[in-house]
Amino acid sequence: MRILLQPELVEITEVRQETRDTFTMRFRFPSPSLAAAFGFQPGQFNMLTVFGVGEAPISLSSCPRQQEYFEHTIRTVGNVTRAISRLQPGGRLGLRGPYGRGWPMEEIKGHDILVVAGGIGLAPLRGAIGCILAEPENYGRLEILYGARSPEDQIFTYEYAGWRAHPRVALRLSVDRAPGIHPGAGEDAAARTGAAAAGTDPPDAGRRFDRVGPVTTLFPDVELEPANTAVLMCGPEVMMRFAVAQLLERGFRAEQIYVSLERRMECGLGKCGHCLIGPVYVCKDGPVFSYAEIRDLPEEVF
Amino acid sequence: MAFPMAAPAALAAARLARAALADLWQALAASHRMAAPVACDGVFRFQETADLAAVRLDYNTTILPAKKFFYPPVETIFRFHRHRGALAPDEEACEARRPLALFGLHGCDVRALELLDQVYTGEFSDPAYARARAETFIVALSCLEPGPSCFCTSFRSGPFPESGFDLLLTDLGGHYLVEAGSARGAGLLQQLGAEPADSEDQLLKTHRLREAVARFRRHIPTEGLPRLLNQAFQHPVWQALKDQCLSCGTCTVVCPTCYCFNVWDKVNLDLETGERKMAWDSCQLLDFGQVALGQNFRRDRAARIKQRIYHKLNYFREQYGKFGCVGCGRCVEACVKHIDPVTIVAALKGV
Amino acid sequence: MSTPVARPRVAVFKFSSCAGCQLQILNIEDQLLAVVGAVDFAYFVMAKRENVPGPYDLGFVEGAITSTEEVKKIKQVRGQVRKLVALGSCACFGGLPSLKNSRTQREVEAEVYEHPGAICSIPAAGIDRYVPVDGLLRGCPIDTDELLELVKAELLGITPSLRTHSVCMECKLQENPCLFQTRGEVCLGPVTSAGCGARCPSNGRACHGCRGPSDDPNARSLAQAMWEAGLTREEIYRRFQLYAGDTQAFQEGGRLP
Repeated sequence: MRILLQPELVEITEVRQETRDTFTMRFRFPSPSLAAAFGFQPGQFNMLTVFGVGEAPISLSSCPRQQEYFEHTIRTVGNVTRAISRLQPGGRLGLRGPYGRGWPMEEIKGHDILVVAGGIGLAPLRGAIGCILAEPENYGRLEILYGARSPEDQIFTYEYAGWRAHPRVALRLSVDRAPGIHPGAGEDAAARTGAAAAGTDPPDAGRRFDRVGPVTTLFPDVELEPANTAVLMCGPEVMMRFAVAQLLERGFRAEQIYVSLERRMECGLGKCGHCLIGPVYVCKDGPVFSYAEIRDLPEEVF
Repeated sequence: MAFPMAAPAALAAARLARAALADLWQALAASHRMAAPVACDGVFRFQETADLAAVRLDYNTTILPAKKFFYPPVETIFRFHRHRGALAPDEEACEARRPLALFGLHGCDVRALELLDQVYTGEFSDPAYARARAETFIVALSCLEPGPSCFCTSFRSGPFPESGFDLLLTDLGGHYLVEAGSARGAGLLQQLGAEPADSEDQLLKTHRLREAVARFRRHIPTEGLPRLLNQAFQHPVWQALKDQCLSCGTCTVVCPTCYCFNVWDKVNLDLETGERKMAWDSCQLLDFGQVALGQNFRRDRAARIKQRIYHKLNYFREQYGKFGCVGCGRCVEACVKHIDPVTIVAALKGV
Repeated sequence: MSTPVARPRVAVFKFSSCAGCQLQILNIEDQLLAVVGAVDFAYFVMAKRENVPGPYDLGFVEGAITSTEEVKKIKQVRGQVRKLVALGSCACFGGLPSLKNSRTQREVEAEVYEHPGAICSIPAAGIDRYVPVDGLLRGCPIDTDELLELVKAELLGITPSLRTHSVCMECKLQENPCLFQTRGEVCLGPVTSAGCGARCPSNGRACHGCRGPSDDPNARSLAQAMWEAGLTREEIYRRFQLYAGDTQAFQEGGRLP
């Protein structure tokens, strides 16, 4: 396994703080040959190494059409991510990848797309959104539902204005809690959003919301019809459990709903066994699955 | 598989007098590191040894299976400098070692290596593993006397192996029948100049096989097994096992087809240099499914027990086309609580 | 997990214990100089004459809390250290001193002292009963490799990875014969936390559970196996009582129905 587990060096070129505990890092390969060879699909991940601390699987969060660099959006939750958070532009990380099966960008062509994301779960979807917006003629309408804990926990707020600017895109935001607003006070929240939308500038242009509550509170606002819509979903499993259940109720089929799963991974190659769910390796058979693929696994996912 | 060992039928067969076993050993030892079952502290281990006299072909089973030769329990993946990254391997470490010959492997262990090949040389093939496997010479041994926990006949991995070896030894009493399973095995037979086997030897072997098979008292009925398991995920037997299982992980360490590992960094006291290491891990341990945020995808002990049994008897087949259990009985022998796939399946069937 | 400190000030405190775990700090021998270069042992009474008052970045506490006086003292220690590590099984969960807990304080005091009037002993407990603890180094005595891992992690500003699965994992990886299985020796390895490298069973001696319960231990089931191996209820109780009798897991093991 030694060769397969050898990371290459990548250099940090830029760091953007997204929220209190989440940041986006831009990378490039110092080696031109590696830079030329590196390509990925949205939804894939890399194994990032801080030498001396360890390795962790992290989703690629940039659009693969951008070939000058790639980005990871990282929440500091453990040893490796915390150690990464201490690094500055010019610093170097180890990288293996890209690994896994990303979003089914080819299969969903010609369909309307419903993106459902929670928290850091928007990170692996940003690249997919970028790809869709780069060739809108290949896709139908795009609705993005994004739920965060609070307005301060929203990531990629600097993208929202650009996404909204597209005539066929709707972006709807929910927060679990907001100062002074109780869950269920959707009308107030919507009103406040309207006010905020009147004239704000980046970087806080996105820090607003349409509804208070879990991301599923946005479902009544969804205009897309189940018949010709593909759903791309990533977020905490408890969120996905409820979201998938409600979508199925609305008439979406399990085959139309794609979810990205998180599991412990030591290799990314289908060898270390940590990410197994039944016969499925999340690392190489996923992390993106259609709900139909995981619904009937003996070891229940959600 | 690109290995030259999967010859469908024996290329050659010879009679080898018991005393001539030493000739075979010598011929191999001339160009191989020899590893074989050796007794120590009242147990058997596969160990490198130069001495045929120390080899115990009457062994029943070893503590650890032969996977340890291709995939060591603990291994350094690379050395690193914290700021310069992974360091190129030492010249010394790259020094070519003589290839290994495994002498006296039972059918269960031969099959287990074939199953590990599926994992390690399939998608994302590991070149070091593939090389070690390809250059390793395997002298298999027909198993005449099943151990008390054995059930290899259930998976047709034994007692007499049918593939996966270069040479197969079968003790016919007065002499050994040696059959080649690969071109290089046949070549070695040629080199030994042994007397060709005749149909009587083959008849005797068949007879021995029948006798050996008749000695097995333990079976997992494989017919309909996946369907049985698919319907038994909520069976009360799992809750009963939860009360028994110690969550110690022993069953997976001794299993010849378990392949899970974990990876960690060990920094030296200079805080600049260190090693990335890997070691066999176990799905039976509580922290196996835990992610950084603290969420644990297999917190329940019953879920972990099911993971082992289902992976061996169900998932592995879906992944790689064969049952992941070879019936070697090591997990049964090693378990303080005697948790046993044979009795588990019997309980699921309501026997 | 915290921002690393350049050369952290370290203090070593002793409570009710044999001092063997402190001695282990000095036993790292060839690595000791490197450690002394990396951290400042500001307070280490066993090792040096001049000791500097707190505050300290890292405090190691050895020993169990066995008197009301010690309760006061451990709270003072907590106030002086940024991070507190329990050094050894006594500090982690009572250790050998907790053996006395199955009897009344008066009984045990009278057994040791002729005039126990001035003694105010309380049941022995790990320090976490009285103060928050940031890290555990288990063992009787502690394992020097684990100590070094913890020190290095502190210097790197990360959480040390000291896995607490069973001793059996470490034992089997070394291909030891199972003492329970092959020699009928009762071994607590299956329910005891690893980190010692399975030192005792590797030297032919059964695990006595000095490192306390492992992750998700099933001591009750092991007790059943001990019963089947011929031990009496009393013997089983004593096995679990020896080092970590006050932990919930080992109490369950000692209470065979």
